Amino acid sequence: MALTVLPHAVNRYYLLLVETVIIFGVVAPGLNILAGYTGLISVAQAGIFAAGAYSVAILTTEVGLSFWPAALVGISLGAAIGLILGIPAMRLGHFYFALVTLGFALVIKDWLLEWAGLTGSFSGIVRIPKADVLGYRFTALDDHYLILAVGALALFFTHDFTRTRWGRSFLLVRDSEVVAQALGVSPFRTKLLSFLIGSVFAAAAGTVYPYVTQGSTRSCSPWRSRCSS
Amino acid sequence: MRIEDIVQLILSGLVTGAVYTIIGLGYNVVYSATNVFNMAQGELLMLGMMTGVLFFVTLSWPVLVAVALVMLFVGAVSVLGDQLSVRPVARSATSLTWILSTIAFALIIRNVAVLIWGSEPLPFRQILPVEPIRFLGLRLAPQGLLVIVSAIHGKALVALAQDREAAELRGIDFRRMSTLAFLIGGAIAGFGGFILAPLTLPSVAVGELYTFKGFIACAIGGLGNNKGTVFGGFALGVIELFGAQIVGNNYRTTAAIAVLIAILLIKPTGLFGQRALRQV
Repeated sequence: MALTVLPHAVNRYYLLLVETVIIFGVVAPGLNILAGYTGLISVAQAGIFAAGAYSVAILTTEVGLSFWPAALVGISLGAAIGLILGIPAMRLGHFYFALVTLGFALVIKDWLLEWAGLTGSFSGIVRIPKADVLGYRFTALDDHYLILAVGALALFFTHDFTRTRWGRSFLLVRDSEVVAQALGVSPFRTKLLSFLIGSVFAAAAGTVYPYVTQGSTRSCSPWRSRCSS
Repeated sequence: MRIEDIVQLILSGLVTGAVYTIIGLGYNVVYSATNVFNMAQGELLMLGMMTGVLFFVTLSWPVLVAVALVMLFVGAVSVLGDQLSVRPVARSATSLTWILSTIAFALIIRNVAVLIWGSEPLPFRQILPVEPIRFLGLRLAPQGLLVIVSAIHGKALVALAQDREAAELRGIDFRRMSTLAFLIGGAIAGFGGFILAPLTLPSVAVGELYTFKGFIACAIGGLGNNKGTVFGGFALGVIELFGAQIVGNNYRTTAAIAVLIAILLIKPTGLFGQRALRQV
């Protein structure tokens, strides 16, 4: 509740701070599902977050899509990365998984720099059009509510997650893959699903991030204490 | 491409690969004693570079004094990492929390280093003459040769430490073994950073990349296997450079991760690794 009236109470700087916290607060539950429930440690979320952010930034400026389809593309891209990276990485066991995801985060950084025509390299992308609904163009205040809504959705999906069928199977796989297999729960599919969920959360958080920075710059991640360069 | 160019490229790849080997050996010595991979290994190498700048360039102390101090200091930081990021979480054998905690320690090292040295690359003084050794139309900087030789001899050093651990296994307590392993692992990384520094521009930003590449060296050869790590490191350096020739220099890391995934999918225990039983 306090967060909804916040824009009227504090100045822009603190608002940005709060919005950044909310956005990383969307990545974190995804990571919690991964590391906390399934027991997988992934460092790739920074890269997937960047994929979401750059999708929105590029599709709205270069292609001229509006925010909603661009965000959908960004989230799908995040999910696709989760699958493509997850399938080989998941076969390798927990420790290699962490390593491969670290490699992915490094590789994404190289690519974003390399594709300067699309990503603007170090300077990033500026003047990203605001989201709109039926011709109504969002203001900075609406951006705040958009970000809040994404945060609320993330909380909605993850609260009580351990009581759901998926949640329970994740915990089971973490505690013992053998028992999970004996009970008919495929560890591979369960881990892949949890990585997929984690990726979607990260990408979704990424899609609204350009509205905080007003110019999608290279990925900042919850794993790193500052924007990496 | 002429044959000399190819051989020249292999030589350059071996120099890069030697650095990966040195980091990989640091991983191994810690791993064989504690079953933990110290994800701060690359940052320790960076710290070796930066303290090298301090002792050797800024204070311009003699090279042997500087290198000894660098190894001692980085070794001490590594032991601190053991105390702060490994001991407290290593209570249960199956837990992988140390991945996160050692990454966290790596971040602390990097951020403190940024505070001290800033994020701009710093100049380094040459240790050996810069005039390249010429042989059959090939060129190799003496410093590059030093790095390669160190990587190969580093294996012997690590093996010595590991043998001693094995010998003392029955009498000595785990904590002292672990401290010794972290000390040696850190000293190796510091030494690697110091001798690498004249070949590149020392910068606080390089750590993460070396953490990853050094680890690939281990993973290619089989975790904890020194012979495999030496092979893996050199192979990675050469493959990466050829990959960069084909797809462009900025895709070196991409080439490296592709090689890693391919090898692990074919042989999950690494090329030199022994078959492992799956733990239940």
